Amino acid sequence: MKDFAAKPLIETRQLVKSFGGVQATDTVDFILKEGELRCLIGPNGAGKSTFFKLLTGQIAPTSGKILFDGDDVTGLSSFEIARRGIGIKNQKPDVFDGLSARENLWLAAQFDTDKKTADRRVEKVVDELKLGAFVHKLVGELAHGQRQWVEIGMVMARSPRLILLDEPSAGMDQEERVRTAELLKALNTTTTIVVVEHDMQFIKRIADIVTVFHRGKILREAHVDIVLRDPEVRNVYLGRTEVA
Amino acid sequence: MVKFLQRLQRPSGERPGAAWWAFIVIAAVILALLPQTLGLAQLLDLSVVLVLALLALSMSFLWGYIGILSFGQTAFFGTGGYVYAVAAMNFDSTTLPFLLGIVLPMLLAAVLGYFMVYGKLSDIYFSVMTLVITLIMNKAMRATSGSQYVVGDVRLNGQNGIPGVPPLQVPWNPEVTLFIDHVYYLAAALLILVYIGLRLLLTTPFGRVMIGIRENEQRIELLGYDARRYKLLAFILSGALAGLSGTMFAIWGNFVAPEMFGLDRAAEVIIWVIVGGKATLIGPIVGVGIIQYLTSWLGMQGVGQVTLVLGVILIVFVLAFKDGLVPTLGNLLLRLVGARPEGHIKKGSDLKKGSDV
Amino acid sequence: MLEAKNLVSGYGALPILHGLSLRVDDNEYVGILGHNGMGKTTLMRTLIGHITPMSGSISLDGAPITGAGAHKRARMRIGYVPQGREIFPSLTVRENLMMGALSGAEKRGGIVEEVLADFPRLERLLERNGGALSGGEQQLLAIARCLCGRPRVMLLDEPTEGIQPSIIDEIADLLLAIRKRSSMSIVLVEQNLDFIQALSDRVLIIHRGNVSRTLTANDLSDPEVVNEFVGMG
Repeated sequence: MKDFAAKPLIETRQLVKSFGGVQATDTVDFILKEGELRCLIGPNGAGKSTFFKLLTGQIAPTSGKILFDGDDVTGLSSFEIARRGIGIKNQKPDVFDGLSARENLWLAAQFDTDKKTADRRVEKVVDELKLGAFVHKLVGELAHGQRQWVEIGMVMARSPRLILLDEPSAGMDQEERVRTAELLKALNTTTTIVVVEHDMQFIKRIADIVTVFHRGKILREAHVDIVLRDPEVRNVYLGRTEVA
Repeated sequence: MVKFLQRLQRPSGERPGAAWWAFIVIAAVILALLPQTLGLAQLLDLSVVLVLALLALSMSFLWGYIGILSFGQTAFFGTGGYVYAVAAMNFDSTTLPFLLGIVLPMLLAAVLGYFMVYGKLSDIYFSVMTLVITLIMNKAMRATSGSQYVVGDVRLNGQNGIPGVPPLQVPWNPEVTLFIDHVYYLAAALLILVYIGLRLLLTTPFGRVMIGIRENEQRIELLGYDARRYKLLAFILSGALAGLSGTMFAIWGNFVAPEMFGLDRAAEVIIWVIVGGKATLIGPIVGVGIIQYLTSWLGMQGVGQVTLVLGVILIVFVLAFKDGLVPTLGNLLLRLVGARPEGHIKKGSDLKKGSDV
Repeated sequence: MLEAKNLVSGYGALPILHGLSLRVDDNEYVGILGHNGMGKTTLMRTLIGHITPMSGSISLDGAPITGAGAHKRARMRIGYVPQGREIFPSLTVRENLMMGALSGAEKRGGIVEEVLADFPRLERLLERNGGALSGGEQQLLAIARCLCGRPRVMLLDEPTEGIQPSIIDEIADLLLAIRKRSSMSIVLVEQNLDFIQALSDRVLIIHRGNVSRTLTANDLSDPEVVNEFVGMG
């Protein structure tokens, strides 16, 4: 999917978010081209989730700019940004617990269309993600990993141009992680994706370029094999974990 | 039947089935036949239950569907009542006053709701704000005893309220006014229509987004819905319903007083909804009936501390029937017929595994 | 020491565990591996007393505790670190740890300081609110808080979820050090194969509410065994 001629789909310029005195996001210049599958890694608290929340309008930046497809979207509310085509799976499962999995998906699918198209979209996602076994159950009663699937399905049902996934493999078993990795690669043929992950096995399965966050700044940005051998990345993040 | 009982557990986005429509028809027939067997005094008692059930619905719709707890329904209830009373006493016809009794509370809800929703008040502050609005309106209306508080030809009369509110005329024949039994029929018809309307609203995309907001407002926004718009529209709709209830209350009693805005009433609405069960629309209606009849029965038994007894009942209900009477009873019946409540139904092989219990 | 026999347990009327038995000896670390929805979390919640089993028994040192509530089990020194950590976000790190110490006598006895000696990262953050900590620090805090109750057996539910690799290493080192110097046992539910392999004496595979296999830690370094497990539908 590497197409260096592609234009940036999302871009941040000197993006800053401070909470109290702490710079959770510190003058971040980030560029993502259409068609990429980018991984973000970095220590807990490095500002990855904050960065995602800024991109989706869940919080407003202190200063700096966010451009989506060339348009300035800084300061837009989250529903406006969602309408422009950014979908996100948050770190903690962010679903409708009191509704069935199908109803969850339906709410996502019917946003900009009629009932019939929405139903078709739901069926498509249920097929693709193999959710059939629990699509009638209340999402609140599903296992953690299944809830993650439902949330990923909700994001997919909206067919966004950019998908942000915050720790998609958390709470999934090994088999589900492999499936998720395959799914993301398939999805990447049509959609630009950014993934925050801590599971290095998972990252190695999907990643190409990896961006490393540390203390709100971008510490490194390079091909996965280079980043994982970087002594500073090892020092602040990986520890002695085998990644060869 | 089982499916129908399961539906009592939570608002459902699916189209109501034949059982539900049958239930509506039976309820309508019973309500239509009751005046044959009841005396006028009993009919009067039943009418006010139907009128207040509209108020309960306006509250449970907001709370149960979209998750906003509003203590302000009595503010719109009172406004509806006063608007009808003042307008009907000023104008010759009562048709316009009846409509104003719905539209003005609706506008009030729109203005208040706009500032509260778009001011991004969190849920708890929203509830407190609506409570404050109710209290202010109650105080303000009590303070209108002076002769300077006149609207048209009508003195507001402060604490004493406005007696002699005109009965509703038949719009196309103003000579005929509604008598006690007519008011009963009107209230019954309105209640059934509102109930059907709110239930069908749930099957629309609008209704399902509302449920989504109750479940997870942030996710709704991330899916591209402007949650504030939905909350405001729901608040306006519930204001209109409460206004309708207030208007009917004024027509029913030929009287309005500041108590319509009172804290007691605001608390009562919550009790109805909690006792009946906020997850359903039928629950609060049942709640109104039980509490109203219990209150008057306790009064007749010479129990002095009716409020105290009601308080104890509320506590018992909150502790023993967490979901309210209707969902709890539905659940019980489901167990009796051997089915599981909705949401616990497992498909396929799991069902076989479960059958050994 | 901790023994469960023929547990049938689950939510509502549906059992998720179907006659599961399990035994943990003194100073033994037992790992539990299984696909999602196979009953791992139900097992943990049953062991800790959040769910009362429909049948079967749980005993601690031979004494039955099947019907004892969660608080009673805590007093019997069964510690629990839940999935998702559940620290008190608006209390400071020190206050969180105090909450974990069961009795006043222990607090005066310096249990908090004793535990902190193993957690240099937390020592620097004592006056910080729990909610202001990063995910990795919160996980360390949850484990430290559990240790403040001087547990005889600690139940750990997916401690590596969402945690950066270097802190996962720290947690593993710490738990191994504790095994050497105390007699504490651990029941560990985990998806991270490296982590579970590094810590466990035995690994139980849970499938459809029962133990389907028992592996040694070494079995997990055999790619064939792992593939079989990962592919197991």
